[in-house]
Amino acid sequence: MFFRFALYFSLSLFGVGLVYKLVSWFRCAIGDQSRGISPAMRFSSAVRGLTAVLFSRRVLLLGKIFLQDVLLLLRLKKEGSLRWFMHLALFYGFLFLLFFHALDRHITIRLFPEYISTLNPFLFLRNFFGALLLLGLAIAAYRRFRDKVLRLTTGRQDIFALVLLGVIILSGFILEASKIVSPQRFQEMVQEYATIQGDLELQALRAYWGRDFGVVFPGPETRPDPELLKKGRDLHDLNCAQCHSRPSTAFVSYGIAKTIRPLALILTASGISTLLWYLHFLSCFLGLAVLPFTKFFHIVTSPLILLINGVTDRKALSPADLATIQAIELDACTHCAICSQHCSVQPISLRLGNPYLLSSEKLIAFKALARQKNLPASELRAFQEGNSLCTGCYRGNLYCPIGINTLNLWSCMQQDLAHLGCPDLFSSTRDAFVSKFDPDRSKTVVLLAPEGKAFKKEMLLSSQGNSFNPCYTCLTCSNSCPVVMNYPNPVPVLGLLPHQIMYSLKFGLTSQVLGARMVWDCLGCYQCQENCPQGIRVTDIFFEIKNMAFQQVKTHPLETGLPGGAS
Amino acid sequence: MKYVLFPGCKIPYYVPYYETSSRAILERFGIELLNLEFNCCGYPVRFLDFQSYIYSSARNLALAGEKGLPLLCLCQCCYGTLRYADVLLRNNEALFKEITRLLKEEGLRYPPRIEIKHLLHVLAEDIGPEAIWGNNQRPFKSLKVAAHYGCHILRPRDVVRFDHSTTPTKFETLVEVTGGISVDWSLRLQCCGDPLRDKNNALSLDLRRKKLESARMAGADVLCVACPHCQMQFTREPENPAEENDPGLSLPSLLYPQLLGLSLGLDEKVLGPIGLDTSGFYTSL
Repeated sequence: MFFRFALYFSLSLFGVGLVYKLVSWFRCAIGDQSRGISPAMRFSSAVRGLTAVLFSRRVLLLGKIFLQDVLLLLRLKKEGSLRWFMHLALFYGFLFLLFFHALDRHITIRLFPEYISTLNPFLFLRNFFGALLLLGLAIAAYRRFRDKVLRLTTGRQDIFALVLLGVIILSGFILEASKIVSPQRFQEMVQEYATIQGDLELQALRAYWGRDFGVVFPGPETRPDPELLKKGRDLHDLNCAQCHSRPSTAFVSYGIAKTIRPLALILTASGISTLLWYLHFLSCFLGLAVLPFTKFFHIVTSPLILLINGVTDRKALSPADLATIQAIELDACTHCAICSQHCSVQPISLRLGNPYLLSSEKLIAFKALARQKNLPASELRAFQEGNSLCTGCYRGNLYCPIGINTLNLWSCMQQDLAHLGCPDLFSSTRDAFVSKFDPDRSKTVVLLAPEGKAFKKEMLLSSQGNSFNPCYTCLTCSNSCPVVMNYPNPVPVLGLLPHQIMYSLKFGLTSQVLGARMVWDCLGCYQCQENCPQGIRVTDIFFEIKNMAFQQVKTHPLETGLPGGAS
Repeated sequence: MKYVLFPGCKIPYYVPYYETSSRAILERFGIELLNLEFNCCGYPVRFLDFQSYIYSSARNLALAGEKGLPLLCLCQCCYGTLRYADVLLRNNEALFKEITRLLKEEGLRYPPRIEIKHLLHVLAEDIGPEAIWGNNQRPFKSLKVAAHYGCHILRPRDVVRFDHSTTPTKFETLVEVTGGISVDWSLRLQCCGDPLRDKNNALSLDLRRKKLESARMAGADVLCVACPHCQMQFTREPENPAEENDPGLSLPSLLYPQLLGLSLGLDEKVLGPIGLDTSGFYTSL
């Protein structure tokens, strides 16, 4: 009764979650492309697209992708045999147990009418696939613990998935073991299935099952005499053998049963068996109920994305379909972090201490962003930094085992962040400083004892970042600068010209310098530096003062007046 | 000769034919390339976080150093960045110590010596113009080429040391060994404008237009570049009708390995989109 109630309850939660997710794929705004398109339009466009594929030759392609990429997981093979084996073990372990164990009354019995759960090969196979799944889980856990990037990216979702699957499998094994050793269970089965007459026959059967089937009976262990055993064996052949194979083929559970022998009577007496049974099915139902909101959902979404991306041409897609597909992509990510392991800016992510530079983490960030939750400004800035520093190296796309088009996602993420008032890192920092520029120097105090010396000591990053002192404003730098030369009257546009910047630095006028558009429009082409007769590292100094600006923004976001700086 | 290839981040998605065409011409000269998975050179964070930049570069150089082979860069920004990081690390003890410590965490070591070369370097010095000329199958006769050096192969001169920084000739020589006629143009050493892309698009476009005008004024049929950033800048699709109708923006641009690949008689499929009909340029004027 409770079992049924729990099953239907978790099934209905699963259903509600699934519908919620389906609806969100058509509602969720992704990039500028999705603005102004209603969910209904996106839905009808998707239906049209789907029909077009199903009634075309591309349907054959779907079959090929399903076989290669979904059933054989061939894309994952590129990442090495261990990873491939790990996922195959999890995938097929899970599939077998789902179809032939959890759904045995609906599937196994129809395919094999003689099916009985205690009979081989099912007894053995259940253990085999359980062990396979457990092995997969162990490899997954080990990898997440060992690998630097995986350790960094492992989150609650990943741990939850590993732990839940572990609980399901282990509780199943221990439950089976506790049944093997249980004399009560033996008694129940005898009463239910066997025709045993008299105590002697029961004694004989008990002796046989005690020796060969691992049942632990109360009382001191004695060596039964061969006569009794032979009788027991005959009785077993007559009554039990048809429906019960030797449990030693259930090799994992039997092994556990052997180990827990000394505790067997306590275990069975204290109802731990019942508890294990509850734990086993309730953990399964928990997994089912929350499936659409956990990484388990990739069972549905990953094949879906593989199939969709296999038969669609991105360039020919309408904005409506693109937005929908990208919304599914966000749900399809398994957080396997292969993209992050190959991520080109991984060392930068580590140095800056910002995980959102890594593709897998950025995808999670985008998911949060797309749900339109009220994210704190500091979080948005971290997202923005992560996304701004993507080099577009394309490895995220190339290595994603389900072919998520990450590069497309990041450009949409950039648009959505800008939409939320958090434009790219460079422009927002530049604008914050440029807005405080004092063109007529009416508000700038030039100290008689210049701060230049103290400031000079900070400029140690590049080779001679503090080499501005010998400047005598000969204007060679400004005259060789292509940016300066681009304007007939450069000063109003650029604020300060390179030679003026060098001279201002002598007086420590850093905020004036950082407010000059020139610093931010510098190409880094090194013409100024190359031509300077005094050997001043002009371009390097420009790089270095921008470094200072970003440090300031990081430590005091409020003072520079960045959007959301009040958080 | 064997090198470790450093393709950089922009090439695989934005200019994949730079890599395929480079591989094809290098193969013709018997050069072997070793592939390693590198990270970003650090150039994109130079303006933002110095330590991250140096660490990124150093990590790549440590990976390449393990192989004991010279590094061959295709991107000039990567090239300049890696060279600069190497110079800084060898001249700044405190920085070297800190980076060594970080590398050690990964079991890496900064190499005692590492050669960092750009593709043009390898062609102009290791292979040499004579060998290139001798391999031509179908040299050009009348193609006028404006060689666009790119900034970070020339400057700063005390860091990159490819050619004389204000009066270089090596790229023109490389153009001429394909049979191309290298034109002298006033803005040949100037920046393409790509660094300001998405930061100040109007300025970036102005710089591009000026360069192209200068090349056209000198009579060039085509621009020749050796950096993915320059190529992206000169071949960018027009973004609005004004750009589309702007005659100042239309001059085809080839990557050097494409130009050389044509004169070596390589398959155009390997060389990637050529952007102009070259058939008329194989006969004399």
